[in-house]
Amino acid sequence: MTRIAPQPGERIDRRQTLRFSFDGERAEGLQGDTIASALFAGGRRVFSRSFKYHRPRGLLCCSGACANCLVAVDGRPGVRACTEPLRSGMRVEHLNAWPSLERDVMRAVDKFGGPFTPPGFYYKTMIRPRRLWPVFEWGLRRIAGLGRLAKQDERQWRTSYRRRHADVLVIGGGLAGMSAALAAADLGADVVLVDDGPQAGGRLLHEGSHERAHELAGAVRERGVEVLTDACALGYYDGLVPVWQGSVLHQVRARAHVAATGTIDQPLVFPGNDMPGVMTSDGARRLATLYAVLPGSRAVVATTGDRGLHAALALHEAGVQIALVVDERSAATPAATLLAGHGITVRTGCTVVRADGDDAVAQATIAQVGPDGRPLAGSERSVACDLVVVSGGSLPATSLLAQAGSEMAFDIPSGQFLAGQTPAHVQAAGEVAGVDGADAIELSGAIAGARAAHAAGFGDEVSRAHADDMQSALTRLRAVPAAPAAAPSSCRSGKGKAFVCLCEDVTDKDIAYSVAEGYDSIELAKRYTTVTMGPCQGRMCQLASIRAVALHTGVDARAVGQTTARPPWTPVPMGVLAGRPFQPAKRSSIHARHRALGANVMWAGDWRRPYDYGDPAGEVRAVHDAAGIIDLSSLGKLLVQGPQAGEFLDRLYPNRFSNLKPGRLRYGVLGSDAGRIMDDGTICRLDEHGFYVTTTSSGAGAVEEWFAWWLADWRLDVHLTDLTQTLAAVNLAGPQARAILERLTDLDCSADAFRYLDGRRAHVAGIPALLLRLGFVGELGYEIHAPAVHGPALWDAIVAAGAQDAIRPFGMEPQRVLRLEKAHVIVGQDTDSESNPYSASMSWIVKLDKEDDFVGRWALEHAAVREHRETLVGFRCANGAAPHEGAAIVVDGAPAGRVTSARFSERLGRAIGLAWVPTALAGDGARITIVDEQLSFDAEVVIGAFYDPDGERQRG
Amino acid sequence: MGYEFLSPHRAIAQSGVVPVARSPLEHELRRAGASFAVRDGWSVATRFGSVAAELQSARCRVAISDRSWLAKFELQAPAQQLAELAGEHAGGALELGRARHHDGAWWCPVTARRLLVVAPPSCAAALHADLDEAAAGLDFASVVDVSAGMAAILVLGPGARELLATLTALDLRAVAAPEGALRPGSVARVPAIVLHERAGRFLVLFGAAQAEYVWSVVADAGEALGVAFVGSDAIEALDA
Repeated sequence: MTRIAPQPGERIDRRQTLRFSFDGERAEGLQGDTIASALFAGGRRVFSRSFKYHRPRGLLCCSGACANCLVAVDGRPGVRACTEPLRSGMRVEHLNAWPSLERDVMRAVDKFGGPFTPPGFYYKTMIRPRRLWPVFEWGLRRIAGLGRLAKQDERQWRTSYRRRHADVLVIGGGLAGMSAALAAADLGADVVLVDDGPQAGGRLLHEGSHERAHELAGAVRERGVEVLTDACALGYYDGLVPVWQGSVLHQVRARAHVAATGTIDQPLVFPGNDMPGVMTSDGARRLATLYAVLPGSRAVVATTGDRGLHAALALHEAGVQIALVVDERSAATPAATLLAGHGITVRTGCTVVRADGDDAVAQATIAQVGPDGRPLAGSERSVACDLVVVSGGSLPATSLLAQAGSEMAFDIPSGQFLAGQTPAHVQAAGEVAGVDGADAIELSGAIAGARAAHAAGFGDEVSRAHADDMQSALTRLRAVPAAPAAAPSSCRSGKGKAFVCLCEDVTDKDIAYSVAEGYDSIELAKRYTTVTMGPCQGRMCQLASIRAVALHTGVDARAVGQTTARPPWTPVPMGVLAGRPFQPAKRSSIHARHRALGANVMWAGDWRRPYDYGDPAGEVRAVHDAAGIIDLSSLGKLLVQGPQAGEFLDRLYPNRFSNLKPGRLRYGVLGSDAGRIMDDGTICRLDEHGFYVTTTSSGAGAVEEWFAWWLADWRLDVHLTDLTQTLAAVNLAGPQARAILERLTDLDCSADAFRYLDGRRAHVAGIPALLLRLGFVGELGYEIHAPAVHGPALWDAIVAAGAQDAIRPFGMEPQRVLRLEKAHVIVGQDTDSESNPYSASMSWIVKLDKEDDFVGRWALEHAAVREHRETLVGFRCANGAAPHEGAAIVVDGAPAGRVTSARFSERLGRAIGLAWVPTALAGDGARITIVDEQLSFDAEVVIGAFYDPDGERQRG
Repeated sequence: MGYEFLSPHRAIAQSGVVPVARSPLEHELRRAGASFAVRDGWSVATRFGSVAAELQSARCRVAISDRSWLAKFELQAPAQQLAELAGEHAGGALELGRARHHDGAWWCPVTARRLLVVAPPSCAAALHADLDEAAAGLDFASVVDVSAGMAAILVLGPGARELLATLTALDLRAVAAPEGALRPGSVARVPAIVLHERAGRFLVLFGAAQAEYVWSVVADAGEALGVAFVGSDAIEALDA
């Protein structure tokens, strides 16, 4: 057990013990622990196996930046143990080792597989012989990846979106971020502060300033700033910043942004730098300070800046024996002097050049860095230790700034890319902008917050002047030379893998190979070797990869440049991005009746509609023999009103409507500019200036848009109102339809008074309604359109009135059979985007003798005189089987057309359908052959309706 | 008969009984245990058990209530004429993005040439007649009763905005959408209009055919916030 005495600001509660399991074995920790700190306190040092070589990996950063501690928790893989809070009963498992973390057979890849796994090996190996690829693929799928997902039905995770508008969004809750939030809030801005840690405070929390962190956090909350913790800003999308917090994706839209995202402590590159026992200085300090766990007993500290020196002192005070500190800078800094005062030796101009041990660090070799960047001869010295603390400078977390359009400036002494010029509504604050020292960081935060508030429209001349004054003060502060970190050299010794990218197991040698093979830019090297493409997304390796490319190409790091920053900044579960699945559904006001009747409901566009009520054949019979009722509420319905309404419709349709008399209906086929069939429906003239237009259910939205678009262009005196959802509609059809209707209305429904294609307005069962006498299903029928809120009452009344006639509800499937018997076309099913009225056997609808132009006229004039290759016709099969829709019409062994609709008609005793056939075969009685996969059907062409061809039943 | 076939309030007695208009949400409300009463020709959900509990939820957390029975009329006219009509009948000029509450009705300018008037059903007939009369005096104006075509849900309480934040990207903060603000946009992936009636109270209007879907989504989203269903009795008590 490596738990030490209580530390100021520690997160653990020593009074509460939590029990959990790791790889099936019992483990325990304390309330406030992370999984990693609990396991480390219990003696675990190996947490994972690396991606390619399956080398043992231990804790490195303890901040969620690297991928060394990825585990599965309760079946969910990809969890970072070093940031995941421990909970009682957790089931934690390792990811990619077999049979165990301690003995992983795939370690053989590390020992023997090197020649077979160079960078880009998948382009070079396992590709011959080709027939063995399935075998290679089988094997690779089993050994690759980081964990396995449980099956879909074993996973349940509820996620949701939350939209948040704000004036200022501050990303990063450290000293600079909190200072920015306070400054912006003081100017009256609505501020949201986001931090990826469990509490705001950043490095203050583990660098001995936790009280200051708490004080600032309290002030921030008192100012009304909304603080989101354990929250990761994923990217920057033109002002929208998605922030992932647990199972919620906050979509934050702010008028101004402050990035106070800080820097990330970097590891060093040397042979053995990936071994358990090598930790970044921040990682070691977090473990000791926040969780009171000693990261090791005897440490060598290797640093290129004061960050590592401060860590050495802190670890010494926590109880770690500091065997040696090496600082690659040539001159000692005050921090080194402080260490010396504690009896800790700091060697300048030196660095660690290798680490050795079996499965964990046992010794570190240090050396003086020679003028050629290699170890000075004779200066190497090995030091026994179980902990190597490294600090290779820091990486400013500039990804979000880069995505927002900020320019990056290269700082030569430290060899890092800092945020430079930012867009007007984006500010950089603190270390990410190259500011260091607590006072300067706090001041830079205040300036950024104020400027962000100004950009969002807050503040005045006084506040702007104050911001300018703060800027002057910051400039003065920064004029005092600090002790910057140096860029680490490439000084290393001996053989062994020196990892540039721990996530992807990319070594320095791999980068050298990549350059040698011609992939010598940072973008190409990245894609070829996959460096920076792992879970850390470059947090631990971007700078190292740039320096490696610089070293092997001879080009300096500034010229090498950075790869393009893209979201997401951190790996995020797909479920979080998906959010709650919405599936908008439209339902008729009568839908509850269909449910109660046990209807089989299906999707028809975005409507839920009854397919049938369990007996489609019986439903068809009912319509033919007695009466049926179908819910047509999904039909598109448009009210077209105005003195130029008739003219408007004449311009839209190929036939005429301005000459339609009030109270009469006419069928219309809507055409596109190119004369193609778009939609169809009926139009009833209500009065001099009013027309009631119906459309197909799926075309309603498009037709409304079409009408509105042309109206905006023509600027006629016409008003459009979409009534699709305002009116319910039912079709009462069958020989008894009139009798049933007469029981419900005072309207004269006799054949003479209410003729076929008449429209009447009357009360039905006390409900105001528009009745349209038409016949899509081939029998006497009435469409009744009434306010949707009376839909259920209308349905109930008709069903009750028709009970004595054995009225039955019928669904979409029986309707399809019925309309097919009449050879009625369904636009979109029997027609496609190439169909025009001529080829669809509807030439009668086109009135080219109209004086005025109409949409598609020019195309129809051409189509009228040209032969069309295919024609839509009906067909009747020789036997009872019906081909599938889509089956081919075959002529001379080659496909020459297709079936669009086909059903067996009980009434006719034959299978019938509609099909596109070569025009030469489009004559009544012509023989055609239909091939449906392995089956062949003989059929004959039928022109006109199959059932009641003269329409006596529907017009009676 | 005119266009009476559009108006729920034009129902007449048949065998002594006048058909009652039913909200597209009635099925969902019954499943949730609502009690109903007929008011102004509509079957209205009055309570879900305890009015006191509903009031508590509305005051302290978040509540939703069906308001689909509100009368809604769509006026279309040239912009200038519509502005004049509004000036006479709506108690003052209207500006886009802002609705005006006058004589119990909300006058909502959807576009410069399209106005939506939302009113209690008790004044539907009279309002309809007034609007028809006003429209007749204009060169070319139309009044269409769309009461049955739009469902409406009232979202109220301190958590109202938080609930809506899970469903819409509209900025409903008081500073961006003050009382009276009218915001067309997407709510739960359907076209809707959000009216900020007053502090902590939002009326969401959308297509009636999507009522069941929207209600289920809103109720589901509100579960984490402790949403309660509230009947008209509680709303009247709050308004009193």
